[in-house]
Amino acid sequence: MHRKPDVVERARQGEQAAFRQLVEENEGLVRSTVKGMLGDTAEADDVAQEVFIRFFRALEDFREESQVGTYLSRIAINLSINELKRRQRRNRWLSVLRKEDSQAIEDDSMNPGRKDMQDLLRKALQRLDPDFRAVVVLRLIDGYSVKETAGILGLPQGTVASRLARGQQKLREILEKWL
Amino acid sequence: MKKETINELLLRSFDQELTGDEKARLEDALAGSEALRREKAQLEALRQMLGGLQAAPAAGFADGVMGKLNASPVEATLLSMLPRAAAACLIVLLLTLIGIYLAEGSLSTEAIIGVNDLAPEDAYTYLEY
Repeated sequence: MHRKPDVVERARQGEQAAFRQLVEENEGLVRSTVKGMLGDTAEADDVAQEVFIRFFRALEDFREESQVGTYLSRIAINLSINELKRRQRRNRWLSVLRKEDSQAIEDDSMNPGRKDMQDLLRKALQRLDPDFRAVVVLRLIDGYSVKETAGILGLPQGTVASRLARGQQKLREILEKWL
Repeated sequence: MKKETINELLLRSFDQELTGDEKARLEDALAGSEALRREKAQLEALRQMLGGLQAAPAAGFADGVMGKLNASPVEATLLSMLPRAAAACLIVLLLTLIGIYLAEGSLSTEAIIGVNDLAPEDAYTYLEY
């Protein structure tokens, strides 16, 4: 995730090809972050695209002391948390009309295949509180260090370490029989 | 040493540098506890699986972003309003159906189009006009 000041400058000057290059180079990172936070849902890609739209609008103010990747990750986490709050409000209405989806982790096979395991893992992630989920996603899916994760979330490193530990512990408890 | 403290040390060992003493305590605890070794192995497996959740590139993703950027402001606004407009229509439809059911006691086709209370001669009368 190294800096590309030339590409950013060209994108800032309105060169579409340059901005497209930024999208293509960072698509994986952004989609991983958003899917980690929201699950593998249809709206996840909409939110991921919106991350780049927000980045485009903020290009004028983007200071290149921050790397593009970490800047995008910050937007991705914020938009994902907004979407989770919207989802919560929507579910409050819908729960009057239907039984709530318990998001149970159900898999009777003792040896789920790789794709099934990924599905189980994504469902387990959704069981974490968003604040803990964000730390787990940035540190363990996106590969940021504890320090970088703290910088992205605006938290002390101790808080990040503590949430990471509790998040992993909770995931291990949920997935114990498959690990 | 309480298990909880060793457990916290184990979790911390993956992401932070432990002191010499802490490392020694953890290694002693691991050597003496199969349950703790199993927990460590599970955490290692979990972390590896999480690392494998990185999303592969999606066909059309960049095209989608550029398309949204190039959409006219009016188009963009209308597109963004579509889900809310659809939800509003659904609510109106639902309320209308509830109203019809409360008034007519039925959701039959006749009740919905409002001919439940019409007699055949009424149709003739309307046709005259």
